Amino acid sequence: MINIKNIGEQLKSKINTFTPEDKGRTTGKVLYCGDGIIKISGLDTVKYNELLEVEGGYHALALNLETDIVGAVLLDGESKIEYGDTVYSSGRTIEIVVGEELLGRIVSPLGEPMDGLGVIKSTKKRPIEFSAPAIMDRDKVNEPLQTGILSIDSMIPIGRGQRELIIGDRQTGKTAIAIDTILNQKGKDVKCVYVAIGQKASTISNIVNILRENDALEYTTIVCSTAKDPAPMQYIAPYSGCAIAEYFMYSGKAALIIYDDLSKHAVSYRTMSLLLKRPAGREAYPGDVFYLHSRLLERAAKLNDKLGGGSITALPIVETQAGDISAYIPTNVISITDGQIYLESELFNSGMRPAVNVGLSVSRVGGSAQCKSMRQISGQTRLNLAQYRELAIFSQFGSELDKSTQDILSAGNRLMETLKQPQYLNYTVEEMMVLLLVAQSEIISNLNHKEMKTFNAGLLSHINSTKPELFDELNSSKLNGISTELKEKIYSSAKEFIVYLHRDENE
Amino acid sequence: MINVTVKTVMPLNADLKVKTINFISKKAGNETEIEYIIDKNILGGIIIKIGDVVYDGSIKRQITKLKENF
Repeated sequence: MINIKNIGEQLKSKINTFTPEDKGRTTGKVLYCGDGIIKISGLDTVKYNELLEVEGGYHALALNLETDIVGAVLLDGESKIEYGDTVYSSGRTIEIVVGEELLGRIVSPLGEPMDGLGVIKSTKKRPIEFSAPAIMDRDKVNEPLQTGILSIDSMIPIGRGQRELIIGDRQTGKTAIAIDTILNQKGKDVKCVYVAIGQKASTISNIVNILRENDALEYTTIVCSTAKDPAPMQYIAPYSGCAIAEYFMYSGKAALIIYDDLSKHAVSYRTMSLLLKRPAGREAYPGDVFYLHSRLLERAAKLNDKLGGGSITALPIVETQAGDISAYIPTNVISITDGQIYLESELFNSGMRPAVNVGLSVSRVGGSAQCKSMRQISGQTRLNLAQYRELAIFSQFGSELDKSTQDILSAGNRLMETLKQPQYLNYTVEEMMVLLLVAQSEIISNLNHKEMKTFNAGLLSHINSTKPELFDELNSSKLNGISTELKEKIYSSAKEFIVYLHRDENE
Repeated sequence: MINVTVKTVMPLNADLKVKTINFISKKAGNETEIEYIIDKNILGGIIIKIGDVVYDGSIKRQITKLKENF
């Protein structure tokens, strides 16, 4: 029940506690307004990146400080500002609300709610630009962040505090990997932030629906700047998202942040820079486009125990044009991150989904975060696949193949089949270990690769119903590695299931 | 010479005028040219502008500030 008397009292006490303070503010006059840019004369004490207030309640960001003129980009009110309007300095940079209250919400890059669920009640704020943790504040990446995707968790493992780039052409399933990773964090106490930069509103609404249907929205914040938002909004979106994730990191929690995608971010920054008449460099990007992304990605870190041991794992996404990873932005971001997951449209179209090209993908630090038993099992997988690919290209010429080559090819086919994984189906680590162990063993050499899909699904449910203790044993073997007996147990279960699968043919 | 404008809703009485001039000379010295303006739009209080710096103590600004804090 709402007590009307109380509302009055509360309002009065709030007004009483309000202290209007007014230090002197420097002012200036708008000299030019166009393309979302304003030029201001005056404002002689303004600092770089300072938030400006324009008459009428609009905001701008000071980016160019010149002798007589300040160049700023407008965050709102582009069509409302007139020549001669007064501009006030605010003495602060842009801040965004942070806190647990943001989980389950969709916000704009300025922290305003976009989901119609009312005001965000958090009182905590953080500046969107914040310096990255110092060297001594950091710890080694040593805890795994499970994506639930077999090909990634086995061969390109990601650790908490790592920055792993997801790169590929359009329509190769980049966002799908990111969303699957968010879904897999359910119950693992990892707070997720999804930053949409210049995305279509329809795409974002799809993602929101998927997250909501899978109960993943309750631990996720979506920072959303759509294609209709002005370039400065798209430019600040990843920094805002990072500030939200930083709150969790500095309070000792694990956070996961997805930037979807940084190529659009670079484009929006290019728009602003060109309009501000900054000199253009390669591909017309300004000179500091590397710093644009490096300062953002450096903020992802694993903090040491003294600072609470929190972490931000960043999964930036970059879109390539026709598989060209040597373009400007892709090479920049590849060199900043701790590895990349490379998705190929050829693989995607041939039905290999997720379309991860294992040969070109690496994880530079995740290996130490992977559990020992998984490392043991997946150690050979990369080599096996490389061998298979080489032979597969060779065998396309249709020449006669000897028995050993045929064996490698069919084993490779089965392994590739095992790595296929439908969207929104995440494996646990134990399930992955079973699948990989069996897929690389001799037991299944009689199976056709077309049977692998049914076999894998059936095998997991078979073990689950007959010997669920195997999963527990696998779980406890994570630290010390997997024993030969345990391997044998899994193999015998797999053999049992093969007999079961082929019972109709034998009868 | 620094240009100073003082905006109020009604003319200042002698006491307030002295206080205002003291404030201005503390901030900008004695080399100033003060212009007094009457503006009903600020609802009350005073706005002093010294060069490019504005000291806004008007009721209008306090109300907008209050609104932002809710």
